[in-house]
Amino acid sequence: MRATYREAVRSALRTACRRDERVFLLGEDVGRYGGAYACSLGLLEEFGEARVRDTPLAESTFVGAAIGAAIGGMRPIVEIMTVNFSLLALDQIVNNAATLRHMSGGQISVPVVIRMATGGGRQLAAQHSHSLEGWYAHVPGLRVLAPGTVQDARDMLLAAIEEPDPVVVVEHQFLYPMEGDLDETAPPVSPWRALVRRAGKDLTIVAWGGSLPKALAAADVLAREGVDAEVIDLRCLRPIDFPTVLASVARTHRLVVVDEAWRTGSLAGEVVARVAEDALYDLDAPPMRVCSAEVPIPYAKHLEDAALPQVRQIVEAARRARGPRA
Amino acid sequence: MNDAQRHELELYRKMLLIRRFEDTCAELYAAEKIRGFLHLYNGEEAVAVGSMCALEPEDAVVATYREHGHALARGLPPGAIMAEMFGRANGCARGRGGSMHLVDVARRFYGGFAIVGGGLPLAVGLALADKLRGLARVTAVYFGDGATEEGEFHESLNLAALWKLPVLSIGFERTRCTTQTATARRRRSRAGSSEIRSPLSPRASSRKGRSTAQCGSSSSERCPSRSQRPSARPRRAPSSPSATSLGMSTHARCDDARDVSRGRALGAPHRVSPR
Repeated sequence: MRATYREAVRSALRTACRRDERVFLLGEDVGRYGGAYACSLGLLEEFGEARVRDTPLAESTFVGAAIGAAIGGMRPIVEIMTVNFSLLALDQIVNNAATLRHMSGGQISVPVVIRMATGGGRQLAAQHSHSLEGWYAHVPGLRVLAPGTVQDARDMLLAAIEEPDPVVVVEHQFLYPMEGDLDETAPPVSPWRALVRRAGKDLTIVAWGGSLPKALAAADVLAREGVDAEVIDLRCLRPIDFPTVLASVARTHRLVVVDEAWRTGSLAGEVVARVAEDALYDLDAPPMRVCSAEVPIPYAKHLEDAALPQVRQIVEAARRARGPRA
Repeated sequence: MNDAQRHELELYRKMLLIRRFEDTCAELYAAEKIRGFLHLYNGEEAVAVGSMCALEPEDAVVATYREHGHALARGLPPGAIMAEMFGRANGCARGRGGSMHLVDVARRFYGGFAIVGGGLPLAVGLALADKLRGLARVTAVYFGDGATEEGEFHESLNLAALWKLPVLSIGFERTRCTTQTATARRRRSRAGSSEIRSPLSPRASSRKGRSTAQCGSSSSERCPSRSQRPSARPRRAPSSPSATSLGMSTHARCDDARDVSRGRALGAPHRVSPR
């Protein structure tokens, strides 16, 4: 059936609540209002106030409470409105959720899912538009998922809930209204694997989340120019499925990484570094990165468009990676 | 001996165990057998022992980084705690946590949290889990008075009250050892609040000499200034080269008599740091 990304998220939340009575939702506006992006619309009515909990505006404490509830035997799913707000909960996520299994010598398990909207493109300016998922991907003890399709929005969230360790799920806010095919009965693909979304032989484009549709659009443009690009959806940002990336580069010998975060210290840099470490001699050209301009994301439409990676820039990077045609 | 006397004797025995354990820790720290930060519980033994004897085994405990006493009072074997501080695999956290992160989930002792106030939201969550699961349990969370300056303290009290959760918050007045800066320099005291706000106002100027300086002194009656307190070493001692090279920040320093550096004034240590 056809569904939007937000409906797919809602489908996963509903399925999780039905499947497992330990699952409950909490966050700002998740109950009565149905979630800032309407992902939990109708769930308060279906599951009641005990399991769909509106919280005070206290990110650190409601995320910490979710972590505590996870330790206490529940399976909480926390929603944080945007990745920018999650910085208020960074202490609980990084100092507690991520450390406790290791620091307790394996005694404590923290099966919490922390969902957050990320990314720009909706003119929400510099405190609602950033892509900080790379920060979470830096931290051992966390798993980080970035679903980029409607099907993945459901499947990866359901998989995250099954995890015994904390999982951060970043949902690009530009994707919520996107329509796609959703099969609620299909056997899910492992969320920890990268997937080849478009096979090609001339060039590898690695993207994830909100950059995936742009990468696929760029591949279409390149196809019209006679360049056959392969598009890899990274999907899982920690741990990264490097074998899939390396296998692709071994075929195409050229690499472009699209990352909506800033280039400095980015995940794109990590992907390029790993390819350089493990497969430098597979490359026929320097790897390219397409990232956001190094500025806080601006409000004005034309400035925001200029700051974020766009299809045109991906195509240009691909052309440069291809070099002058022989 | 009647039952009440036996009970009191048992409590005293536990307090004494904590004191002897802490004194041993201080010696072993000086001998460099224990490393990292070491926060001792001397003088607070009654807080842990008294409150913990009101808890049932199924209740949960969340403690601070000064938690040897909480762990012992909760019944963790002293050998497992000491092994943890030696970084050994038979430690209560398999050597991964050390002094500040003692854990024993079987005794529902969820540890040792070394970010001031960071354990409070967790305790709210543990209590929430019990409530959602229909279990009649209590979560006890310990914190020092420094934690009351953290936003998480206020947020956690609000959330626990809002959701009517069985959280037992046990704070204790320390006032000197959370950081090096005296409480009076970190918080506005209730007694002197009006003067703090208005040193330049007509009301303040009409009371010459009763401005901020005096509010400070009223607070210092409760919290002596550094110069009044016995100091284990010179004030504002520069960081030693070894501490710098180890990446230890100056927050490890504390001039309180009970918070001393290794090798100094071990008579009454309360916190020792690797300097």
